Amino acid sequence: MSRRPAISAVHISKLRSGARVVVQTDKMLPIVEFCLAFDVGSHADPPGFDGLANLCAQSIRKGPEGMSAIAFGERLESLGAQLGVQVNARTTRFRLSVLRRNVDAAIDLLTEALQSPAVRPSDLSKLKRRLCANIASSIDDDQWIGLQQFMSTLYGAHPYARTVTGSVQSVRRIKQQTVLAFIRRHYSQSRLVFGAAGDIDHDEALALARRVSEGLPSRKIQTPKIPAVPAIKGRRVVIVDKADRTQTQLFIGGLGSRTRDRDLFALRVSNTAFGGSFSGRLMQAVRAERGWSYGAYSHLLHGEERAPWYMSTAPGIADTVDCIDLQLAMAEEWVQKGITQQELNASKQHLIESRVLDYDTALHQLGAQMDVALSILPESQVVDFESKTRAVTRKDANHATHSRIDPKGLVIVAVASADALLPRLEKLPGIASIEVATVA
Amino acid sequence: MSRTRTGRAQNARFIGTSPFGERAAVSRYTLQNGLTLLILVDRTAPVISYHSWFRVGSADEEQGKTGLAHFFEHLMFNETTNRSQGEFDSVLESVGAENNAATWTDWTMYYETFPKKALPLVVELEADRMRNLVVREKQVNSEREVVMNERRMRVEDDVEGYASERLYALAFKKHSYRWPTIGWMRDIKRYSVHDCQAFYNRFYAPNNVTVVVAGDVDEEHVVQLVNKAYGRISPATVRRPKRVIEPVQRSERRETVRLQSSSERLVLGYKSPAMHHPDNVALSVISDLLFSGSSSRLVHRLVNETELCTSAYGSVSPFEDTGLFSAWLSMRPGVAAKKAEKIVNEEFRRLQREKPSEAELEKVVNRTELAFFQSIDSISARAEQIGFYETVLRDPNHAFARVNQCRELRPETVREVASRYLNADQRTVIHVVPESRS
Repeated sequence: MSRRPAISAVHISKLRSGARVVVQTDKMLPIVEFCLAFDVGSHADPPGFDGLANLCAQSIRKGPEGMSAIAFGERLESLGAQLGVQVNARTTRFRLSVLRRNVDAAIDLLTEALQSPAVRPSDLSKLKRRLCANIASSIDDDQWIGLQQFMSTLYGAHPYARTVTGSVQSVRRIKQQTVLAFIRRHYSQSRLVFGAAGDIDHDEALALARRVSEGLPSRKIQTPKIPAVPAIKGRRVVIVDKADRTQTQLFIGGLGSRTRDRDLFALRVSNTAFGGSFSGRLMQAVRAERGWSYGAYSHLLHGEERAPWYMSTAPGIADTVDCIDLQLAMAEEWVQKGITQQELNASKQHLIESRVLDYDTALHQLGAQMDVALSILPESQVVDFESKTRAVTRKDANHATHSRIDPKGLVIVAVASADALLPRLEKLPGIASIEVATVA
Repeated sequence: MSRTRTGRAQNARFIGTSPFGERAAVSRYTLQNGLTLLILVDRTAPVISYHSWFRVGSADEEQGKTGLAHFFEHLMFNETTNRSQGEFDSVLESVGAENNAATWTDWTMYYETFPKKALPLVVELEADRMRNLVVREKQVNSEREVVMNERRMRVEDDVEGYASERLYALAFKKHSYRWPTIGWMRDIKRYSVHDCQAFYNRFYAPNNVTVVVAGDVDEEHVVQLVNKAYGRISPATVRRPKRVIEPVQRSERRETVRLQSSSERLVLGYKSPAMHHPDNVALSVISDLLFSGSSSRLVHRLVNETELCTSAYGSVSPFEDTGLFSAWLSMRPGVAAKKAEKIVNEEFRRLQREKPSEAELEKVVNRTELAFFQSIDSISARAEQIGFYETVLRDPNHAFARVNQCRELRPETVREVASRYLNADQRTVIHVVPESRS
C-alpha cells in the first residue's frame, strides 16, 4: 500500500522542556536526517550587527568546549555524518545526516556543541575572516548581487533588506561576548524544534530530543516583531555596473504577500498562471516566442510582513531594454485584466496534482511539518492546501492580483554593463529614478 | 514472490531481474526493435519517475557542429505531428508532472516525475516525441537564442564555467571531450534545420534508448504500455562515431586567463581512468580523502589552517572514456594561487609516498556510504542512478557495487593509484587572474 499523497495532519509532540518534536519514519535506507531548528534568524540581528545570527550558528558548528574544531569535525566525519547550518530571516537549522548505526554518537556530538559551544577567540577570528572572504567573493555571482540589490532597494531600512551573512563591516564589528550573549539568549529549550526523518522510530527520536533540549537554558523570550513594510512609489531602476557582461541578470518586482493574507492562495494561483510555471505567460513570451532568456519566472514569496513578488530573467545585453519593456507591459496587463478561466483551471490543476511531489520522501514531509512547528506556516495551509486551492475562483484570483501587485510601484535591478543600457532605459515609461551602483 | 509474465506484450522479452540493494530488484525487458526497458517497483510514494536515456552526448558530435546534442535536447520539447507547440509542457503540468532533461558527454536523458495515474499519458508523450518530432525553422531559431543565452549564463559570464571550458580544451588534444557540451558559440549560431533533422534521424531510435520506470507501478502494466507506444517504431542504424583515443599526456599544460573575478582561482586536471576501469573507484576515494569534509586533507590545510582558500573541492569525471580528476581552488582575495598549488603538490606527493591509515580510509568510506544513500533517497533519484549506470556501464545496479568496492579498498591501493595518476606531467592547469591585475 503506498503512502498517502498529502499531509492530512501535522503531528507535533511537545516535551516538558517546551521543545517540539516532529518525526517521519521511513526505513527504506539506513540513514537518518536530523533537523534541529531554533526560531531565531537574521531578524534578531541588532542594527549594525548584521550577520550575528549566522556567525553564532557557524560558531556552534565548530564544536564544544574541551574539543578543538578540527577534532570535532574529524569525529563527526569519521562516523559518516555530515553537519550543515542554514540560517534565514526567521530560523536557524542544524542539519545532521548520519548513518543509522552511528546515530547516538553523532547526536551526542551535536548536543555537546549546542549545550556548551566553545566559541574560542581564535576560532571566532578565523571564522570571521572566512565569512568576510566569502562576502567579498560573492560579487562574482551576478544573480546573488542582483537579488541582494533588489531586496535592499525594495526594503530600504526594513529588516527584510538585511542579508543573513551581513557585510564585511558588520561582521568585523562582532566580538566574542556578543556571540556568547546571543547564543545564551536565543538557544533555549522552548525555541527548539527537533526533527528526524528516516530510519528512526518516534520514541527513539523523542528520547534524543529530550537529551538535546534538557541541557539548554530554559529562558523564554519573544521573537522580535517585524514592522509593516511601506509601499514603494514609482518605478525605481538600479543598474549594478559590471563591465563586459554579455548578459543581464534582471529582477523586476515589488511587494507581495503576508502568510496570513486571506487571499494568499488566490494570488498563488494567479501568479502560477502568470509566471510560476513553464507554460505560464512570462516563460512563453520571453523564452518560447522570443528566445530572450533561458529562464523567465515570477516568484511569489510570503512572510510575516509583505515579502517580495518579483520576475527574474536573464536576457542578452542587446535585448535587455526590450525585455524590461515587455515584462512591465505584461505585468500591467496581468493586474488590469487578470487571468482567463482557462488559465485559472490549468493553474489550479497543476498546483493540486503536483502537490504529491512535494511530499514524496520522508525528508520532504518533515520539512513541511517543521514549518508548522516553527510557526512559519499555519497548519491549515499544509493540510488544507488542496481544498483551499480548489476553492479559488477567477474573481478571487483577479481581485487578489489587483489588490496586491502594483505595477506602478516596482523596483527594477539590472546587473549589467551600465553604458550599454542607460540611454534606452531612460525612455521607458513610468521610470521615477535611475541609479548606477558599483560592485563593492 | 512469484512473478508472472503473461506474455501479452508479445514484442517484449523478459530478460531477467537483478537486485537493487537488499529490498528491491530491477526487471529487464527488451522490445523487438531494440528498446531496453528497466522497471523498479517502488511503493514508497504514489509517484512514478520515467527516464529516457539516449546513448548520444557531446562526445558524439563532429567539429563545426559542437553542442548539437544539447541543442537537440531543447528541440525535443517542441511540437510533434500529434501535439502542437507548447502542448507537451502544458499537458504534463496539468497532470502535476515535473519534467526536465540533461545532456553531457556520453548521454542525453529526459525525465518526468508525476502522480502515478499519469503513466499512460507520459508513455504516449515520450514515444511520440521520440519518433514524430517536427523540426521547423522557427523553433530552431528561437531555441538558438535560448541556448546562446544559456551559454552566456553558464560560461561567458561565469568564472568557473569559463575555466572549466578552458581546462577541457587544453587537456584533450584529440578526443571529443575537448569541446564543451553546450558547444562553441560560433557553432551554435550556425545550426540549420537540416543539421537537427539529421541528428534526430541518426540517434533518436528505440535501439538507442533505455527507458527506466521506477515507482508505484504494476510491472506488467508498464510493459504493456511501453510495448503499445513504442513497439511499432522501427529501429535505426545508429552510427555512433568512433571515439578517437586521446594520446597519453607527457608534460604539463598550463594557461593563464584574465577574467572579471574577485580573486585568483586554480583548476588542476589530471587524466583519470574511465568509469569502467578498476582505478576509477580508488580515484574517487582519493578525491574524497583530499576534499570531502572540513577534516579532509586539503580542505583542512587550504581553507582552515592556512586560510589561503575560500573553497577547495575535487571530482572525478564519470565518463565512458578517459576523463579528468579535477581540483578546484578559489583563493581568498589578494592571495596568490601558487601558495595553494604548493600545498596541493605536497599533499599529492605525501599520498604517493605513504598509504593512508585504516582510520582515515574508514572515514572516507563511511562518508561515501552516506553520500550514496542520500543519492538514492527518492524514486526519481533511484531511477536516475539506474539509467546512468545502465547507459555508461551496462549495469543498472552498479551504484551498489561501487560502494562495496569502496569498502574493500586497501590503503596500499590508494597509494598505488595516487602514484599512477596524480603526476605533474599528466596534468593541465588553468590559472584565473582577476582582470584588474593584468
